Amino acid sequence: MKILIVEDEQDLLESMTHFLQNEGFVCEKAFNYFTAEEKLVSFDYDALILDIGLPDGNGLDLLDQLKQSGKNTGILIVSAKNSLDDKIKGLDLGADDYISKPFHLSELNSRVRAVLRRRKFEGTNNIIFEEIEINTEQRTVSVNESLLVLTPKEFDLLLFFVTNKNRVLNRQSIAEHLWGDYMDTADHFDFVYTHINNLRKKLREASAGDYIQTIYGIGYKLSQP
Amino acid sequence: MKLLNKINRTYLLSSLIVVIPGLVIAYFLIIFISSEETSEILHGNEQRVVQQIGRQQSIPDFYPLIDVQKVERAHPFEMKDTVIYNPVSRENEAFKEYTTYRIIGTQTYRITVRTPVIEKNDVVASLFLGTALLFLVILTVLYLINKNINHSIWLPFYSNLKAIKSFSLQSSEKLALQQTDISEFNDLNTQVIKLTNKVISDYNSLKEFTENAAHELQTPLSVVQAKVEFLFNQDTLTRKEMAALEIIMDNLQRLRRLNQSLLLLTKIENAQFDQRIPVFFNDFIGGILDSMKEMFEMKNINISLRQEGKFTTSMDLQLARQLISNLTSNILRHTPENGTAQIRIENDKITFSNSGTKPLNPDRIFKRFYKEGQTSTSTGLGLSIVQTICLQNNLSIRYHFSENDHYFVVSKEES
Repeated sequence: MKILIVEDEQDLLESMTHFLQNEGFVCEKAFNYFTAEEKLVSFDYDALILDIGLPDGNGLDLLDQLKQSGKNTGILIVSAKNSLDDKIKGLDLGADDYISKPFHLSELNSRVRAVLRRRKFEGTNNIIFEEIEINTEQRTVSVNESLLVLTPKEFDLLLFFVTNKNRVLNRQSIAEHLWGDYMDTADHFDFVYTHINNLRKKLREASAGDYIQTIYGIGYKLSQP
Repeated sequence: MKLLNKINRTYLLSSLIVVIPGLVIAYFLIIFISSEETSEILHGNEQRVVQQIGRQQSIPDFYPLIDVQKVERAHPFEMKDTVIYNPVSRENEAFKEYTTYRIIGTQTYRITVRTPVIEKNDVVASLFLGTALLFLVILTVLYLINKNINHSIWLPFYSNLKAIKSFSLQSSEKLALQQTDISEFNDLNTQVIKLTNKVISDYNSLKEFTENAAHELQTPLSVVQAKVEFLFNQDTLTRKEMAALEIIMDNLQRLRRLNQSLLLLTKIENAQFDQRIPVFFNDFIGGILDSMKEMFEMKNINISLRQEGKFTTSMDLQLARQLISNLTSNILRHTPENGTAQIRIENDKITFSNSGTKPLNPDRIFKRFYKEGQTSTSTGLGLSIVQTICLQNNLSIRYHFSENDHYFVVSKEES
């Protein structure tokens, strides 16, 4: 999988690249509009992560060009403005998803993978982790080929863990992934805790291995044995 | 009081001050002149009477104007005021009387001539009447002039006042004022235009700042967050280091939420949400409640939605959702475990109520950064945002506490 990351903030660009490379992606970097345009014309990418606030141009124009070139590239827009206008415009211009700064890298990873699934692997919506099989289109999970009934939140939680396997997920990022911006409340760690416990219990009852580890004081991690 | 009325009133008052001593002087002048005039007439008449007696030897008798009597001896002449009954008009009339003694031939005559004099009361009355009439005429003329001036001289002033009243920072139109040939008005216009241009430019730079602040703050926050996440995944971390990282992360999130809420608040205050459409609150309140349902369940809060009417108003849909979700999160945060809560929609208001223990301070809860108790993870901006949204959209938000329940009521403001 080849991804182009367009971001004018060097430190952030490095972090994103480093993270996604560890996830097994081939990443290329562009820190301004000019470089990004050049790369998009010359090469094909499976996904584009695009900060639309660039110093030398509006990222939305790149979207327009990409759309006209007819390339099948999954697009994730990054914006610092958190403005609905940008979001609507971007989605109108063919972006697949929108994430606003500041974001968790695990969230970015999860969104990129969702974009890639939607764009590329039609028909193969199954993610397999050990004896657990997740169908992202029908939103079903089976363990050892027998169906496991999960609530929508538990499903999202499991998918989030599997897409970010072997990584420490802090409680903040989990809460945000599950509830978005509504989670401006005090007790969300308890909610995360409850959901994870329920998920673990269901997996255990379906005789799947207990892969979710508690990382003291920080969060949780799904580890491949 | 209008400026013109004030000026006119001053003019009229000062002319009264001048007119009253003038009236007194006029009175004495009139009395003096008429008295002089009467004396001359009496002397003249007396001469004529003497001549006639001398020529014709006859004695004229026109009582009471001329009265001639033969007397034994002469006395000194006498001039005096007197009152004589007039049988024709049947009233006493004032006369001036001049009596002389003349020897014509051998006979001594007492000649008395009289002439009616102006009565003092009449003088006073006519003077006052005349002045009053004069004032009435002046008032009428002033009124007519004012009316005319209002239509000509003051017209540009009033049209400019209207333009200033309808001036709004949100509309991109600059203030256009009508020029006149009155220098005071033109001075005022120039200063007002200068002032509004300054305000517009300040407002624009504030808006620009808001947008820049978003970008400038969010990006470093992203970098820090990414780096902390990177550290989380190091295998060599000790527990203490992990705990420190977690605190960094928690505070980073607070900072982020704070920044986002402040930006939202500024944007609302700048009225940057201006896509007003008819919003049907009944349509989406259920959805917002559903998205938070499990959190209510986890705290075992029994929340119910009662739709007793349809609440509709014209506003930005995004803001309407923000309003409802802030008030609902507020319930979620502040209802004690196993408590009850209710959202009630009526035609003219929406009431959010939840169980509590003691009343909040209604003067302070809508203030920025005000926090009740120790829920330090909240930004303290949620209710400020609610209040600002209400203010901008002709809604009112009120709080009261009764029978151990908190009530937040959003209602349409009577306009």
